[in-house]
Amino acid sequence: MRGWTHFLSGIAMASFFPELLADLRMGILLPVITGVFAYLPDFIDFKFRRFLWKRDYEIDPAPWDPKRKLAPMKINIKDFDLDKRWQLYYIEGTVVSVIEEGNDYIRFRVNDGTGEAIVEAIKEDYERLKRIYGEIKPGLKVRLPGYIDTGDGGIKWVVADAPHPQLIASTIARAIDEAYETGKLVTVKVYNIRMAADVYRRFLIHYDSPTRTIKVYMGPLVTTGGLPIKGTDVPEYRRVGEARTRYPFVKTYPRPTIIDAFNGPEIGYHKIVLPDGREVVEEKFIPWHRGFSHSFTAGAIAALILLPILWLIGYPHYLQLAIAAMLGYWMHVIEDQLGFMGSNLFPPLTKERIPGLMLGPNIYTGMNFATSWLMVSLIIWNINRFTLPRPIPLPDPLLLLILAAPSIIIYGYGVIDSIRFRKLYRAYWKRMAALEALEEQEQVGGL
Amino acid sequence: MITPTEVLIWTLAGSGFGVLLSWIPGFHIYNLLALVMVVSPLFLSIPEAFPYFTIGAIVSFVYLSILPTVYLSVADESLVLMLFPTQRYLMLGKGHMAVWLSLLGALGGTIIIVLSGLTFLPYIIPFVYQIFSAYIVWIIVLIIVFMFMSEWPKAGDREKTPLRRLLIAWRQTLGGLFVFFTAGLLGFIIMYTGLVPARFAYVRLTPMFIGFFGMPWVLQNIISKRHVPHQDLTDKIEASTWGVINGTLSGAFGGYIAAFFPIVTGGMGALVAGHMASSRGDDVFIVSQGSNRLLYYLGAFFLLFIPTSRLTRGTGAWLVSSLYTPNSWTEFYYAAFAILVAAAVSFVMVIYMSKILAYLLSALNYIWVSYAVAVGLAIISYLLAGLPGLVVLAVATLIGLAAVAFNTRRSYCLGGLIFPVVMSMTGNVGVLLELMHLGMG
Repeated sequence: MRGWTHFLSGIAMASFFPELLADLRMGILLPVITGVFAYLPDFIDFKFRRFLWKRDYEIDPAPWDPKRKLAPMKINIKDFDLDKRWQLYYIEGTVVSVIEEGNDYIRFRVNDGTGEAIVEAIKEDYERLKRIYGEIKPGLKVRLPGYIDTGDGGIKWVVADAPHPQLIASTIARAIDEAYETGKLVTVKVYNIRMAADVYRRFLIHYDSPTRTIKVYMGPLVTTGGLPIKGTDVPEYRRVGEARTRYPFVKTYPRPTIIDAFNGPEIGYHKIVLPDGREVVEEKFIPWHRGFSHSFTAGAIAALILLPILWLIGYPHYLQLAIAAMLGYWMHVIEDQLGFMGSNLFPPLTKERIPGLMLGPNIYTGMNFATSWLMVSLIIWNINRFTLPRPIPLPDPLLLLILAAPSIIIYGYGVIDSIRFRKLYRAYWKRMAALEALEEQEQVGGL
Repeated sequence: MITPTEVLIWTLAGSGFGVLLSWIPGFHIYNLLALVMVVSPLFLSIPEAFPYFTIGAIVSFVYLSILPTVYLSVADESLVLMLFPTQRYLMLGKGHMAVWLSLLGALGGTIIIVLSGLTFLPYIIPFVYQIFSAYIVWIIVLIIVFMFMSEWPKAGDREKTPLRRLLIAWRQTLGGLFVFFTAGLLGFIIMYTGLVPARFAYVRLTPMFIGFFGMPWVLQNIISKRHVPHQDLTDKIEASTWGVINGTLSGAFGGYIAAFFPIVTGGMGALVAGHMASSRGDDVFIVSQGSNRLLYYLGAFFLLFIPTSRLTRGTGAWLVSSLYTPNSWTEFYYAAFAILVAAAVSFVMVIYMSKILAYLLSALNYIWVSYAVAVGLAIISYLLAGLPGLVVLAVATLIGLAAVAFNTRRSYCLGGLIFPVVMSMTGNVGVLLELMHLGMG
């Protein structure tokens, strides 16, 4: 659910207490705390835990220029290193000599004053180079985005407008293997790729568990809203990166991980035991989220901290406000439980996230609106029944039914949508299990 | 009683007035209304025509002001981590498309305001008013608290240590608080002390708003030496139907919230409505802005015409009600008609003026245009509020630039309006004046 929906839930909880509403009418604004409490779980996670979380691997496909806060960043040839392989940078220098040129490729030497490197451009990248510079000849000054790679003659510079996805695939595969071998949670931070004009290079991580392969697809440039920009797809030869893992893994949420605008995510990997006894590595998306902060326990503790503070400052309705704040906090936990990810609901009794109800998986917008509207309805309903004379002269049950009708209808559709999705989901898992069995048979020579 | 023909004439006159002035950067609705005041003596003999003239002017302002928002507020991406969506469109050569998206939103907003006004709004508004009127301060404070709590830390993610990441991320939020409260103090001083003399009445806040929102953008253009790329002038829209519908509805909802609750601005309403409708994406955002602004400015004014409630919300409504308050259903229907007429005129004007502006900006030196705009803004401030206006402009510009430097929401500058009003609503003006050793102006 979106932030305001949670915030509204806290306000709605406050409206159930006539004493708090009376205070608000008199300009005593302390009950605002209930909204704050209802938003607190996300506030803790996104404003604190996210930044303090330990990262085991950092994948930066296109490091930023520190001043412009954009990719690509300039690299000197003397700093070429295989540790920087496949990352997007740019070099600036003068063409020294052309080694060879064909119909759709060219190899030449460039000197940037710090050293000399072999540069290679093929297919679409060669065509683009020709479009920009015309004939490549000695003495020509060039600015070439691309990445370091290895070839027959050692390290070379490949002209490209995006990093090679192999970097991401290889690192994730390594993290999965490490998680399996150590039994610990391994967190990988994947940075996004921000280019000039505030557009982002989209890439997609796909977990192909039957073949134990991580596939990363480099996509087009997109706006912050995710709108692809025409003509910015990367050439096929550097579009896909693949890396195999030594150990099996699963991804609970059956959709690829897409990274584009805003911040790149942290992805955790940890070993779990499946019901059939197999040990596999499971992806835990943004592992710092939906932990203790999103639990009923945390809500109760937060209210217990608030209670004496309110009492000490002499607020007469301290008990009602503390209870309303706790209910607001709990509403956040309940609302999040309607989705996929779920939360760790009762620590220390529970240790991991308990999967959500998957309500309305294809109508996220509708579910969010339905919940917001339900909270608005509750606020109106409560204010009406605690105000004399009643502004809306209708019986309480009828008024609530009229107000909440849109939410009830959308929730109803959300349940139907969920049933449909679960059917597909089961079919997907059956298919994946069959593919995995097939793959294992292939590996041991059974087929 | 005014005749339909007179309604049409005065609406068109108001539209023409708005079209002439609204596309000029810095000419906010407040400036326009100040000028409306100048022409208002004309209406002393025919006061019943004044509301329709104002409708024409406000509708034209909402439509025409799309142009400076899209074309004259470009900035270098290195100065701000995230660009405003219309700036991004402009830098990708799609400024004209951004204008079309905004227009779609404004058109959708126009249809919504007229349809809702002619159907359920007159019956619902009295109930909504009775339910929420006692809780307005609560609602305003809730939205402000939410704005701060929901600020998305844009920086800090790439720092090496966890503590440094946290520090850089929080610098943005704390910077936002700084901007809000310094803007608030400035607004407080302007409203409750004699810094800007009271004779400047309605317009004494204008230099502050120009400083908060107009001047920093222009200065950024000059500093970053940005040139506007060649613009695609084809009349086309790249957006999903669902995106346009979502943007229009969420923008309209946010606009209504802002129109109904005093001090809640269009941006604040849009934030709330955007969260409720899960609006995401540049195209959706631009559409929602078009719709939001229309409902915000015109929705507030339209409330004046609803005979069942007749709420006076916004400067325009206060100004008009000082001369004449509409009081019949006939005038209410005339108002709906006037909105449609003014919207149609403005819609066509915007399309053509967008093409002309896009061409001119590609051809002219954008830096010199920005210098000219900066000088123009300073002159407007001087003409509206004299020398104190220039002082306010300078301070407000610094606060506006601080929002840019902290990479935080520029809307926090609205503290300049929100803070003094909340202080007044909670009865704390005297306390603060005493604390600051300032007297009433």
